[in-house]
Formats: sequence, structure tokens, C-alpha cells
Amino acid sequence: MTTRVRPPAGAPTPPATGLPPDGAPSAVTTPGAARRPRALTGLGSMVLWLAVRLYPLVLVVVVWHVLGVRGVLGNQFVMPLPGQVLDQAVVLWQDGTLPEAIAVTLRRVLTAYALAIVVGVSLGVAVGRLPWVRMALRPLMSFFFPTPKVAIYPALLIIFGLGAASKIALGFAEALFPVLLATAAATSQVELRLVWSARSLGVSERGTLWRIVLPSTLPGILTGARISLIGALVGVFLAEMIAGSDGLGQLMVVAYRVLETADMYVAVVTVSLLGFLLDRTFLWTRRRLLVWAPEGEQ
Amino acid sequence: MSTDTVRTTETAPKVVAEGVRKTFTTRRRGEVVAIESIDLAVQPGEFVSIVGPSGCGKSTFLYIVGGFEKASGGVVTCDGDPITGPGANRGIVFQEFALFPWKNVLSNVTYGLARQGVPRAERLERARELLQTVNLGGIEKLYPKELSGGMKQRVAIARTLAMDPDVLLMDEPFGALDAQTRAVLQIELMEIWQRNRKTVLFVTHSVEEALYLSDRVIVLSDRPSRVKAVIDVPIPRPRDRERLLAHPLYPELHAKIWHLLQNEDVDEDALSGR
Amino acid sequence: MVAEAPPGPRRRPLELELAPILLPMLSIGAVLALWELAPRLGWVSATSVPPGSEVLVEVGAVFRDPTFFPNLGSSAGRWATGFAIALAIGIPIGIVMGRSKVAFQMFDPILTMTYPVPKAALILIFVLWWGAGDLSRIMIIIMGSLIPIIISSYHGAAGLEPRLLWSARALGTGRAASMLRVVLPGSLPQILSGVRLTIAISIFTLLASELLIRQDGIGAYMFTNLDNGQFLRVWAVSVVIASIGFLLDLLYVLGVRRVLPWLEGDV
Repeated sequence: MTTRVRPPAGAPTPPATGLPPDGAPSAVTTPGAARRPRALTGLGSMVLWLAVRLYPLVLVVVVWHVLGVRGVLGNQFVMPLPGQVLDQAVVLWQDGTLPEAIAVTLRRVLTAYALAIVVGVSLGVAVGRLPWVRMALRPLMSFFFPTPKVAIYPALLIIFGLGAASKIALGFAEALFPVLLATAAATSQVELRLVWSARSLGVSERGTLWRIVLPSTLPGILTGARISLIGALVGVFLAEMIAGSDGLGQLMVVAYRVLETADMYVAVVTVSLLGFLLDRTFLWTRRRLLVWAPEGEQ
Repeated sequence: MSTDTVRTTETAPKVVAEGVRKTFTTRRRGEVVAIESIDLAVQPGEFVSIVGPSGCGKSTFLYIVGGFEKASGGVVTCDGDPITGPGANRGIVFQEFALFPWKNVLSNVTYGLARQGVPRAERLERARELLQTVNLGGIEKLYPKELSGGMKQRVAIARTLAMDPDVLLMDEPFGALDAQTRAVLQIELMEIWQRNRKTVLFVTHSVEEALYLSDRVIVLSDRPSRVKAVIDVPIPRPRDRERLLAHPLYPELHAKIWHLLQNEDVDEDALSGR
Repeated sequence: MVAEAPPGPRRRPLELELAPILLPMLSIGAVLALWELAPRLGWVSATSVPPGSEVLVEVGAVFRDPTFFPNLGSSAGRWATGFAIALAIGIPIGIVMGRSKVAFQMFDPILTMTYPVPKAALILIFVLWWGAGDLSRIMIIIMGSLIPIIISSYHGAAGLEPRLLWSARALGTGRAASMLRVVLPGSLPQILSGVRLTIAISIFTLLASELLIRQDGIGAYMFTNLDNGQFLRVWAVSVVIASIGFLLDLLYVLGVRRVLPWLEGDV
């Protein structure tokens, strides 16, 4: 019995999740690259560290402002200045539009994400550990992974109508595969000797699952889960844009239709910030969860 | 029974290390001294092994000689010139083979020759010759992924020999191979070396391997490492690998090196008095 | 599951032999059967979810529709352009990031910041700037494809076994030449893996842009039918698009296998 389940020769394996194998120091997966170097001390280094982390934000705002003032991409209607967008954001916040839109979208994203995690991890564990499940589901996974889930969005609209359900459904569809594939890959590669050691110490089959398989595969699962989080956001937002009744996506589209351009920018910035915050929160949680992992994982 | 020409002190040494020191800065532990000070001189045509406890920096030292790492202190010279970077005069063979996976066997072996501008026909001929020398006829078109460990290492050796380097650096080259293949390759290496008499610096964990292959064995101490001892191996060549253990000098040499590796202090008298 | 061969006579070897073929067929069959039966048995509305067989027949009608292929063509053109440009920009950036600390420090914060931003959000902004024509949609595809390409190229270059580079140097390759001769081919497995992922992502971005900017293209075609209540056709087009995505992926993997026989495993 091989420790690693091999795909039948000839059938293409579903692609990697697009983030690096665990343990590799990486862009995006580890913020550590720009982590404060311990060699430097003092205020100067603190400023430097902040500067490195925040410079893209500053750059974007500055470039934006300059382009807007120069009218390079159009007049200030088409491209409002950052200051104007900020003002509008405050307006929208105070009259409740923005908070409500955020709440609606966030609720859907988290729902879709939770569903995707539950289904993705359970199915992933089954696929990774049970060869017959793997063999049965492999073609289905190989077929659906590369297909653009948004292609079925109109079908989802038909089934679920225009309400929240279709949006959560698209978010779910976008979020499912990264975590599913990552879980399947991680669980299929659990060091067999770890399992044998546990079994010889009297742990049952089910116990092995909880005590050995899941913890040792956690880094891999979390790598997929990170992509899934953004997938859920993208799915929900896109769904709201295409056929929305509320939420940030719909805010964006409505603003476009009535040519409230500043509102459009508010929507973009808000959803970007939302994505950024969700990702940061995820990384923070991941660091707490993986405290025991060798440094490479962090 | 032939004895080789003993190194005379009149010939200029090929590779000289003086006070070589290497430190690393790690995030967790600050500055770590891997190599405290290594001094050694390797004569031309000499086969020298370096042994030492795990983590003592023997591979690091080899990389410094190869020019892949920079020494933090001290100087290494080859033919009198200080080493500043990698060069074709110091060929290297790694434990992990390091074959170019995107090139087939022949292409790997001709790689260095192509960089030198050697014309195609000549490259191919030379490569084929070398592959014969390492007992690998007929696998020219195969890719590294299709080769066994032993085959890969032979290709790696052929690739390095193609450059006709002055010095051959070998970093535990047989460490990733099973015992049988390892023994076979040791014998083959000896056959090749007997013919071309290159200067070889050979890093290994195996005392037995060092004693079979080398003229001298350099024993490093634990980190921060220094040269703990230099052991001559006066066993005459050609050496019979199967009968090596039966050679009268072998047990004492082996015990000496073994104890050097185990303990910080060695009571030489007690050992030789045994 | 850890199983050892049971002692005694081998039990039902035939079942185990056939499993890799039977099980997938069973699962696919189950899904198709469900799709066929559910609407017919009234478990779901047959207008919302037409039975699979009808959808498949409709696919034929889709292909015969004179407006379909032109739309598909314009979509494909946009996709190919955006994808190619993203590769041309992203791969070099990723590789340089992987080998140069300076480049890494420069680009990594940008990547970290833009990674969680849904590129689809920018579509309408682009339309504001550049109108509803091809430029906006191609730009969006580029934006969507750049990040996965850069990241995987970076990983390929950064994770390159240093001994490969050292060997090349000791065999007479200069520093600059090493980039082309060693770093690029050595990073290929990771890069190609990233390209595979980017194919799927870029098709997604393309479709998203067309579902929003319904000028022409496949997305627009789908939505026109949706608006006209032609649900069956919408399903059929979904199936076609899903199949195209699958086929492109399959062709890519097979193509890579053929063109790069030295690769270990699939990308």
C-alpha cells in the first residue's frame, strides 16, 4: 500500500492550489518577508518597516491623486480624487448605506465560506484517505475545478432566484475547490509512520483521524482555506454585481447605472479593504493555530 | 605492490586554506560560528578526505573552496590565486546529483564543454567517451528522472570530468546511494582517479570510505570547527576494497579516526598501546 | 486507510482491478442520472432545471445558432490577448522577484495588498475610464491573471535548488547567463503549474467581465437568453462553457507532457 495515493496514469491531476508547498518561504503566504528585521532597532527601523509595508497604499493614493488632478484617465467625474471618494464614503457611512451594504455582503461571504469549509474539508478528508472515494470523485473534481464557476451563475439564478441564496451559492462554488483540493492533497500525504505509531499506541482508526491526520494536515488545509476565503468574497461580490438587490456589489452596479461615480469608487475601495481585512484576519488566526509548526510554515 | 610517489614538500600545494573562518547570522541565535579556523594544504594529485561530526561545517568548507560561499575570514588559494568565486578549475559533485532535469544525459555532460565553445562534434565525442568511462553506455537520451541514483551520480561525475578541472570537490557524493551502489562507485572512482590523478577534496561521513579512497584524512572538530587531526593513510595503492579491512594498518587507523570523532580529547598513547 | 493483504486466498481481486474504472463511471453516472430524473420526477422545477438529456440536445441547437460562434470568437480573442500579455509581464517579474531581494521587497507588498482585492470589482471602473469596448475587458483579464502568474513564477525561481546554479557556475556559466540557462528552465515546473491555474482564473475573469458588460461575447449571449426566459439555452451554454474550460485544462496538461518530456509528474 503506497503512502501516497497516485492518480491513474493518463488522467491529469487536478492542479495545485496555486500557492506554494508548505514550508517554502513565500510571497503572499508569509508576511514574514517584510517582517521587522531584528538587526535594526529603534524608531528609525520602525518607520522603515512601516514604510515598506504601507508604501503600496501610499503609492496608489499618490498616483491616483496625480492622475486625477492631471485628468489623465478622464475628468474628475470619471476619476474622482481620493479626497472626494473619502468624502463620499463618509456620507454613505453616515446615512447607513455603506454599513448596511457591508453587513449584507459580509454575512453572505461568511455563510458561503463556512459552507465551503465544512463541505470541502469533510469531502477532502474522504478523498484523501479513502481510495475508493478518490477514484469515484476524481473525474468530477477534474472536470469542475478548471471550469469557470461563474458560467453556472445564470443557472444558479434560475434555480435560486434573485435573492441571497444564489449569491451564497456562487460564493460557495468559488470557495469550495481550493480548500477541497488542498485538504485532499494534504490528507493523502500524511506520513504513514505517524499513523502507525499512533495505532501501535492504541489509538483507534477514528482517533487517528482526529489526533494525527487533521493536525498534521492543518497547514495544507489552511493554505487552501486562505484562497477559498477570497474566492467566497469574489463569488458573492460578483453575484451581487450581476444580479443584485443589495450588498456591496449591487451598490457598485447601481452607482454605475445612475452615474454616481464617486459611489463606485467607494464600493471598490470598500470591497478591497474588506478582502484585505479578511485575509489578514485569516493569517493572524493561522499563525495562532500553527504555533507548533516548523518555521517554514509561518 | 606499487607504492605511489610520496608527496614531497618541494612541490607547491594545489589548494591552501589559511585561517578559514565562517559565521552565519540567524534570526533566532544571532551570529553562529560554523567554522572557527581551518588550515590545510592539499598537494597536487592528492586524494584528501574531510570527515567530522554532523554539522561541523565540512560541506560548508568545501563550498568555500568551490567559491559558492564566501569565507568570513581567512584565505583559500588554488594554485596560489585566492578563490573569489566558482570556476571551471574546481569541479564539484554533490550528494543530490544536481543534474539539470531539463537536459538529457548527453546534454548534461556536454553542458560545460558547450559553455567553453567546444565544437559540437567534439563535445559529443568527449561526452560519449566519458560516459563509457563511468560505465554508462547507451543511456544518452534519457532524462534524469528516468535514472537510478547510481546512474545519476555517474552522469554527474562525467559532467564534471568533462571540464578537466584541476581540483575535484566531492560533497558526500555517495551518501544518497544504497550500500551496494556506493561500494561499486567507490571502486569506479578509484579506477578513474588512478588514471587521471586529479587533486580531490572529498567530504564524507564514512570513515571506511575515507580510508579506502584517500591519501590523507582530515578530521574536523565539532562546531565551531578546527582541524583536529590529519591522519596519513600509508596503505599502498592500488587498494583492494574487499580486503581493506584485513590490512594490518586498517584497524588502528580506523580506531584512531573513530575516536577522534567521538571524543573531544583523545589519549593517543592509550590507543596505540592497545 | 492502512490495509495489509489478508492472509489466505486472495479475495475478489477482480473487484479491486475494476474499481478505478467502475467507481468514476458510477459517480458520473449517478450525477447524470440525478440530473435526468430530478426534474422529470418533479423534485425540482423542470423549467428551472431541465433534464440533462434535453440540455444536451439543446447544445446542438446552440452550435447551430449563427450568433453563437461569433460571440465565442470575440470572447476567445479577448481572452487570448489578455492571457498572453499577463504571461509576458508576469513571468519575468516573478522570476526577478525570486532571485533579487530588492525586487522582492519592491513587489511583494504590492502583491500582498492586491491579492485579496476582487479584480471583478474593477471592471466597471475600467469601463468608466476606457469605455465598454475590448480594452477594459482585456485589462481586467490581465489584472486577474497577473497575480497567480507572478506568485508561481516567484516560487519557481526562489525555490530553485541552489546546487543547480552552483553546478552551472562551476561548469563555466556566468551570473547573467545563469538566469536564462538555469533559473528559467529550473523554474518551469512551478511556472507551468501557475499557468494552468491562471487559465482557469482568466476564463473566469473573462466571463465575469462579459456578464457585467454585455456588449458581445459569450457572457452577453448567455444573459440575452436569460433575459428572454430561454432557460434551456442558458443551461446548454453553461454546459458548453464548462466543457471548454475542462478541455482547455486537459489540452494544456497533455500538451505540457508532450512538449516537456523531462518533467516529473504533471503540472
